[in-house]
Amino acid sequence: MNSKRFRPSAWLKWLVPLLLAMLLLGLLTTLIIIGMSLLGIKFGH
Amino acid sequence: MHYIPILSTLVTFAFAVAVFRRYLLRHGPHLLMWTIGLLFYGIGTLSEVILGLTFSSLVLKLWYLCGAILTAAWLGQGTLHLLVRRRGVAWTLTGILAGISVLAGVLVLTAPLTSAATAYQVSQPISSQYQNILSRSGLIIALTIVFNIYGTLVLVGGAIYSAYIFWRKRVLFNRMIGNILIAAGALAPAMGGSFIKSGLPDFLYLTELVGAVLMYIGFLQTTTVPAVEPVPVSSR
Repeated sequence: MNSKRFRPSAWLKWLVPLLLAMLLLGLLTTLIIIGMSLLGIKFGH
Repeated sequence: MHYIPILSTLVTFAFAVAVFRRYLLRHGPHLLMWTIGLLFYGIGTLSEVILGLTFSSLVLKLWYLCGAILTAAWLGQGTLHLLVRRRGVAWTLTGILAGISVLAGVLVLTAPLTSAATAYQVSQPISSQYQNILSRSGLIIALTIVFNIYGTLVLVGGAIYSAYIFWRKRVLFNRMIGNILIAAGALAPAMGGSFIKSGLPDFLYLTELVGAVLMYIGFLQTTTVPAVEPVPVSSR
C-alpha cells in the first residue's frame, strides 16, 4: 500500500519548484528589508 | 478600510479555535504555540478594529505588542517545536522567548505616548500613525526587529523546508500544498510590516487578511486526509 505517494503532473513539475523559489526569494527580501531597517535605512520618507 | 481588520479578526480567531481543538486531540506543543501566536494575531487585528472606531492608548500598545512584536515569533516557535526533534532545545528556546516576551510587554505597556496622540485620526490605519504616537525606546525597536526576523525565518523557512521535503520525496501531497500556502500566508504580513518599517507604502491590513486566509487554508490542507489521493505512484 503506497497511498501517500503521488506522481506530479507535467505542470506541477515546474510549478512547485517555481513557487518554492519565489517563496524563498520573498523570505530573503523580507529579511533584508527588516535588516536594513535595523540599520536605519529607509526607502520612503 | 476598517472592514478588512474585522474580516481578519474573524478568520484569525476561527483559525485559532481550529488549531486549539486539534491541540486538545493531539497534544503537540507546536499546536499550542501556534494557538498562542494566532491569539496574538487576532488581538492585533481586533485592536485595529477598535482603533478604527476610537483612540485608546492601551489598545494601541496591545496592537504594537501583539501584532508587531509577538505574533511572528510565537507562530515561528510552533514551527520550531515541529521541526526540532530534541525537545529540550525547543522548550529551552520557548522559555527564553517567554521571558523576553514578558520584558517586551513591560517595555511597551509602560512606553509613553507623544503629543501626536491628540491628532490621531480614526479614518487612517494605525499602521500609518503609530510611529508618531508611540514613543519606542531603542530596546523596543531592537526587540521588534529581532522577534520578526526570528519568527519569519523559522515560520516561513520551516514551511518552505517542509514543502520541499514532501516534494522531493513525492509524498503527502496535501501537506506539501498546505506548507506552500502557510509559507505564502506567513510571508504576506511579514512583508507588509517590513514595508512599513522601511517607509514603503502601507499594505498591512490587506496583507494581514491575505496571510490569515492563506495560513488557515494551508492548515486545513495539512490536517485533512484526502478522500482520493492524487495520482498514486502504485497505480498501474
